[in-house]
Amino acid sequence: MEIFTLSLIASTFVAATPLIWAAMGGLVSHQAGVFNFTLEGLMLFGAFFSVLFGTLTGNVWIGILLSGCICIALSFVWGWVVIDLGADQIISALGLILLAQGGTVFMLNSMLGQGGGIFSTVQLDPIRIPLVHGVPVLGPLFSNHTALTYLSWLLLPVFVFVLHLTPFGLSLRAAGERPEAAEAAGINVRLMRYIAVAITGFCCAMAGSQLALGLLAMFTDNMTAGRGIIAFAAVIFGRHRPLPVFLVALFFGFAGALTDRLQGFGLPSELLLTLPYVLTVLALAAAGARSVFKGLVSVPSSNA
Amino acid sequence: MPLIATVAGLLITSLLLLSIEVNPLNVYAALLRGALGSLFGVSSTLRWATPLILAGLAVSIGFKAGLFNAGLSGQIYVGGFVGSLIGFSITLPWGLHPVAAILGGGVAGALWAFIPAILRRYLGASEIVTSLMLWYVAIGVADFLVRQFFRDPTSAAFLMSVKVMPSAVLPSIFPVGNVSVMLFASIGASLLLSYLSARSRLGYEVRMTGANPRFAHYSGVPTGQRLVLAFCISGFLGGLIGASESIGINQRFVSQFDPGFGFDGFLVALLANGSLAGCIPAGLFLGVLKAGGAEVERALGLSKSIIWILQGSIILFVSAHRLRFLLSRLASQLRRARWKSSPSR
Amino acid sequence: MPTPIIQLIGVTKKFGSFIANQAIDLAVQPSEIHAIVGENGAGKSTLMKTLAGLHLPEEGRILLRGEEVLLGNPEIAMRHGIGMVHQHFSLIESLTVTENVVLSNPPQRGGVFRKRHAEQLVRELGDRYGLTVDPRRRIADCRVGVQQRTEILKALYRNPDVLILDEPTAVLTPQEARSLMENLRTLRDNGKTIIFITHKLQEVMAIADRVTVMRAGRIVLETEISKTSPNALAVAMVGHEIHAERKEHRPDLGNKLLELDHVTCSADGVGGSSLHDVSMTLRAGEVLGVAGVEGNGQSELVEIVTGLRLPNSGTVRLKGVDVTKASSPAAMRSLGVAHIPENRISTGLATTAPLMDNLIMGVHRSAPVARGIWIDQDAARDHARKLVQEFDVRPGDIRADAGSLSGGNMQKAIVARELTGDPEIIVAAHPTRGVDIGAAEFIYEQLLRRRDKAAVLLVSSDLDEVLRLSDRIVVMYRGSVMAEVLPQGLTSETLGLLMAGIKPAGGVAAPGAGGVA
Repeated sequence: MEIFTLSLIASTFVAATPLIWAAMGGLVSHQAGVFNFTLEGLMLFGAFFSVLFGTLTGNVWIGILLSGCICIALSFVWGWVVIDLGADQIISALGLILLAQGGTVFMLNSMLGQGGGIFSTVQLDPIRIPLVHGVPVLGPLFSNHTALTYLSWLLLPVFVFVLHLTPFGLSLRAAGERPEAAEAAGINVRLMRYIAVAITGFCCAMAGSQLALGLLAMFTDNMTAGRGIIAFAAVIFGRHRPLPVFLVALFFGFAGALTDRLQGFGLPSELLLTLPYVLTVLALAAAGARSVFKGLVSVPSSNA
Repeated sequence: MPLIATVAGLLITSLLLLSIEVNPLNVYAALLRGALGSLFGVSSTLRWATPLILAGLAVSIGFKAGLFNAGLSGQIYVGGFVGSLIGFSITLPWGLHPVAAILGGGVAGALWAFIPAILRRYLGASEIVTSLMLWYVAIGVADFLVRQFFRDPTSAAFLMSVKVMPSAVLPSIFPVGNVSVMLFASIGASLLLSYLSARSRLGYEVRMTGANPRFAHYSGVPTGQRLVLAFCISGFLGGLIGASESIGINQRFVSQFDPGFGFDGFLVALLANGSLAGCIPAGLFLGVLKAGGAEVERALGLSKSIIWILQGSIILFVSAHRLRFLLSRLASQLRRARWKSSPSR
Repeated sequence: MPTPIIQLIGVTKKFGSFIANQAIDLAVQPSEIHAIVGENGAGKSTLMKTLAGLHLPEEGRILLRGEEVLLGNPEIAMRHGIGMVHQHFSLIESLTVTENVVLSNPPQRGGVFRKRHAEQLVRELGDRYGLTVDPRRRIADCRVGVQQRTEILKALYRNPDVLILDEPTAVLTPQEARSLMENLRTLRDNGKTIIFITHKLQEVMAIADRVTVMRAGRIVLETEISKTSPNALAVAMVGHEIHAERKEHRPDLGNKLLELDHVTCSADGVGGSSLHDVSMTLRAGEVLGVAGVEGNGQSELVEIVTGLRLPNSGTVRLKGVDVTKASSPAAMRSLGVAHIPENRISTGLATTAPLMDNLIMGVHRSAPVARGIWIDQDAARDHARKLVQEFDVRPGDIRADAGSLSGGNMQKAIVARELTGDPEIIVAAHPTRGVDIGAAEFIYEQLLRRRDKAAVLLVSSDLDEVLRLSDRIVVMYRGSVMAEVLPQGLTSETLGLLMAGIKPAGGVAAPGAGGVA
């Protein structure tokens, strides 16, 4: 068994799907000027509700869409707290993550009487792409993924298009970069931010659904296990621009897939798993270095 | 503000409980009974309060300097690893050994915090994100080292190190439970740092750096150094938590041993509302929630997750400074409505 | 005369008790270039913001094309055909020129932004008025001149009849300024009415049709450009009554405390001006006034002297010692430099900290307030109380947050703190800005009292202040020292011209002592 095989790339796509969904969703908030650290919590909620509603309705897509709606609603609540109530974005996001961890377990116990986890009666089936499937190399790589994986690839062109080529995208970016200038141009900055966090919420629900219904067909306690943080790192590392964020998320997916593979060989995976985080720290340091070497006497800025 | 958020948190939790037809009052009663109703309960409360006070202190020190130590968990983890490393790899006389392990853990935490601190000072990189990322790096590195070199071979399921030397174990000072002398250390640290912050020249300069960094810089305060100092103290306190959990509670390094003290620290600090000594009551309050959670689970068959929900909803609202205006506006509208509907007017 | 396109009748605007505009009567004719000139704080910007719908006046009427209107917000003003280009740009850096211009109403079809079409529109708009831009370039990659053209295009995109520009040339190079003047002429010839605010009399003479001079919230002169001269405008701008109670010039000067030798530093982004080959000497026992329209390098000069900024070239000597390389705020303070900064809220105080903590800054390093590693609480309290009493800071509760004080009292607290401990060099930047007359008098008195032992570098755009306190005056213009003059026999006309960058024909009184190094 070799390490670098076609199936490694295929499993990269699988591992990257939730990261891409969450990171692409997260970048929309950042583009609108909301520092959105809730991804981990929203993903967890999304995973839980997709299993819950999928099982209740017996239809996987209804489950996923309802989960998306719930996550949009939860995003609105968080958005209200930070946009209208002026709460600290990080602190309240920590609150939401904690609520997700507590809330999903609570519902698991009280509504379903289960502890630890719950199996789903429905799941996202892999799709065989008719012409591609039988082709060597292309087939194993690009066929047999879930619909959410294929949709996640569509996010890149869609987001580039929406952010850059629609009046809505212009308004959203203006609201994020210079709210007062956007207001002066008649843009409703508050509305833009609410829409942005709603998009983030929906995308995180998709990320969670893929995790719960695409891979295992079950929900387990804290099953996101830090994937939301990695997605957040991808947003920061890619400086919330669609193409870099997409590629970074894909790369982090590759790191994850490679880790699994190495674990199969009995190699320690812990160090490799730190790669996304180390890279983000380095990227931030490098970005800082660029601005410092403009030759200014640096004055610390307040972030309180 | 902390009070309003706590009320809001209790309200949300109560609504959730009502939705599954559980009387919230029963839950809160069980909570208090579990935390304070017995010697074991009290000892359990104090056991949890010990790390929580330190965590709140660590976050508060950062706030004083205008810093946000989102990666406290990482400093705790590194402290836990180095603390237990000192505990199992060297031999020291009884009494000295735990001290060395705990201080070693503290220094390790401080060094781990030093990285984001200097990145912030020299490159202006947000300490919030870098320290958070370094948390995951800490987990990876410590777990890797333990798996490779110090793993307890008898435990197949869980990744944990070999036990620390008997001389390194931090004993319990209570007849029941797991309360160590670290309780006094954490209370002492609160009072000491509170005094230093209020009365020392260094504390003054750190506070001024946090209150207005530009003013401090203009006035000749070496703000960069003060930021690094405050962040390293924060990391040191985190390291103390990790080390004392390792040699006191687990008596070894256990992978993922930290049940979220880093985030709990934010809740403690926010409830303490900027006061360092205030971390003591705030830490005790959160200790009650943690200790009482078990009784809630046992007596009512509810999962401990209700406590997380309570904590989460308090944190969600605790920094929402406009909530107060909203509430007072609402109150005045209600008053006006009553005024209008009152027939005698 | 035709109906004025804009007519103001008795417009008064107050901020609290401060009257920014008092009973303004102004008429602007269609298709003219109307310049508004005046010193800082004369009320020009306030008046224009009133026209642009940003302020609502307390009294008076505004008539547009003969009809009375209420300009409640910028959107309403815009609909009445009034567009304004502010001094500070409000462009979105990551968007292109086109995207910024059309942001308020992007051309679209079926929810899709018609980028090509918009670019074409912007190009046509630019061609029509001679405002050449590359529609596809991102703002972040544009020079300041292009950014300003984008701002103007942004206003023109909404097709206004009246275009107001607030100090449009402040950030431009001379070449860019010349081309802007051309653009304004083109706009006028295309039927637009232009109102522009400026300090620069040359520009007024070059392109304006009419000019209005404001001073202290009132209009003091309104005339056609052909009937006036730069000298007449300068006199009107500065006023006549400035020689009031100036102190005697003191010839007995002490040692050279501060020497700047060919100091140059580069600008750091939009709006920041640079210093170009600045040399000056400051001796013990004198007040050196730095006059000039704001933004001509005074802030950078202060930052260099206080260690906040390092010069690119040249040397800074303190008491004969070269400190160019070793300079930092801490180092300069330890050498006896005190700094009353120009912005009291952002750099002068920690508004969320108690007044006491603000007052002991600096003295917390030495006895009696410092005691070993501690701060002696009693000594700190005594010190703070003493300063509060001496400088009459009200209310004098030293435990209250500094932010709860009024502007004047904040300033008194800062002056009190900075004058503690007998500094040898006192750098005072706009020490009485926004302060009531009583407090200002008090601050003057304190500064003059310190002059016996120390040297004072006074930076101010308030000419009365500079003339009254200074023993010597340097005038700065575009980052250079325009001239160095003695206040004796200095006319307001001369000073006004120097500040506008014009060397008077007859020459100026050069100082005997000190002098430009």
